[in-house]
Amino acid sequence: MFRMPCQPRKGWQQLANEFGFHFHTMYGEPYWDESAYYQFTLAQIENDIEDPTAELHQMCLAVTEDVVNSEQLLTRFCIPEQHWDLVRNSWNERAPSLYSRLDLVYNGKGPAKLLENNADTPTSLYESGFWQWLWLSQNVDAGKLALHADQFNSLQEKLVHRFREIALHYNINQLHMACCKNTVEDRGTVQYLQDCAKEAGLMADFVFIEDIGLADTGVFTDLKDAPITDCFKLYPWEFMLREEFGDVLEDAKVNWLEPAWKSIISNKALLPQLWKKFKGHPNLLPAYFSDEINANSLSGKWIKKPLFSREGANVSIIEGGVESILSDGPYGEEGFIVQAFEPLPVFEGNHTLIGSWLVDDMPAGISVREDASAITQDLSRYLPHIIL
Amino acid sequence: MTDKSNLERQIVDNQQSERPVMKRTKHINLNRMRKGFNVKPLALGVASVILSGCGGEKEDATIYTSLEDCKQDYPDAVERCEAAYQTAVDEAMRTSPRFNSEYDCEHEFGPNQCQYVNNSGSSFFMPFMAGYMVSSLLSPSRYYSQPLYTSYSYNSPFRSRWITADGYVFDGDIRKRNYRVNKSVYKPKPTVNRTMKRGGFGSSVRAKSSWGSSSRKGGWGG
Repeated sequence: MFRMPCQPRKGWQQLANEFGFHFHTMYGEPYWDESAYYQFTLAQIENDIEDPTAELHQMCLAVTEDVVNSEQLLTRFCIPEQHWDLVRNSWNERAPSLYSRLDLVYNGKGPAKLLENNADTPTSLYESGFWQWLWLSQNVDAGKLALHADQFNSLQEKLVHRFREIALHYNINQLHMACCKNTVEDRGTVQYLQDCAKEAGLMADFVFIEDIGLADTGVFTDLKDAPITDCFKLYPWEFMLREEFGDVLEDAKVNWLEPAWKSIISNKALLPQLWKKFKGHPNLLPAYFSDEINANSLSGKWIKKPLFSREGANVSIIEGGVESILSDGPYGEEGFIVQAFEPLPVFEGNHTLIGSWLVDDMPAGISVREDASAITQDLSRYLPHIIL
Repeated sequence: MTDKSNLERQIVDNQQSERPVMKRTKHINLNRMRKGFNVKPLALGVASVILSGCGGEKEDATIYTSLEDCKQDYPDAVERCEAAYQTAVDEAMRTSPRFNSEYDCEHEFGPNQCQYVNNSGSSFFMPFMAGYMVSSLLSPSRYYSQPLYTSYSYNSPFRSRWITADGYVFDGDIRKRNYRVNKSVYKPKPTVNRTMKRGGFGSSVRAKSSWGSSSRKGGWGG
């Protein structure tokens, strides 16, 4: 694994425009960055990332099984009691999942370490599944990369296939897809999933989360008053369960993607629970609920994060028993976990994070993001990768 | 697709010379991924239900290029022809591809194939409806009708093909008028009489996004 500077393709911004990739630059900062790429060996990809990803996912499912069957753990995971049945039923019915992304610390050798599991609302999907694929294809065609250069990225193929399976499972030829207003990145992610669903022969109608309506018959509706029966939502379960329409979720009988059991697997309470169940596993970092340990007794460096949080908000570092706040934010009322600090590897001054994708339970590729900061990943840039 | 772009041809050639085991997606339909059509927040209407999905029961569908066309086939059901035509025209206004400039629209559909629309505050260019597809016209329960487009532009992969508002391209060229399409055999949709209220989801966003405006991410993905 190393970082290789390279020439950006001429006119890639116009190409991005043609393909509708509208968030390659955000807030005046570059996000998609093809002035370099990361190179991996096939052994690094298969042995150090792909296989552990499949295994970690199975471990997460095992923890989910434990949580679903324990009221004490459901409480610990802050699932509102009102919705225990919704979550339990979705698990017991094996409601199909679509995708997830494990964030891994990996420097090219030794075991990758799981930082967290973005199992409910992962983004950077389009740039992973399609845009970096196109980057590789074009650079190989232009003779800039070796003809046998490959990429760990079967995301699009697997997503299309997964949509076919889901269509058969629910006997549907149409579904809705939703995200919040005023975010070009989320809208782009959902547009990509609409394209994948269409490729699978499904119709994918879009509705904004805020525009979802409740009909007299108890079902959810889109802006055309059409019923929403099956819906992909790029919106966290921990919000949905607590909002006004959370009260009518059960009666609305929507087949959600991701399903309600993802509220467990995407929860940071998963991390201490994983450590309890699989203590010492090479791909896990030690983790505890913060109320189970005495911060002063912790030796070394630890990261404290809220059970629910986005964008690396409300993160602290604990060193020698002293806590210092790294980022502020609106989260934390549900409690915190602590996780052993594992520094991201540094390449040319950049802190590099691997996102390892799964479609259902199959490893499906990676994304590489770089950040100037060691922990918060707030202004990260996306770089393509190759296998050679 | 018969007329592949150079880019796509190159990629296909490259894929054929690839080593057998690949860790990446083998083929991506690049035309499907192009967004010549603007991203439309509201997708297509119910009419095109009959087009997608594989397997299932088939039914006949016919493409007409004018109202007269339909009346000739159904001299005893002129009103139904008129209703089907009107449904297609309404659908076209609602779901047609929209472009910010005449140039972009003509680039996709050809010279003089686009009209300017100024519709309740939003203005845009859209292609003229080139035909409409009808099935089960005499069915007592419901018929299907939806607008179709074609392109006269040499730049367009849709040149001389029938295409729906959401980019479904029919096989054969525009002389082909009869198709077998999938009959809807899917889970029935629940009834909606009216929507009582909206906005029951999204309040957490309003509460939390007052926070961290310096963050690059406005969304809730992670």
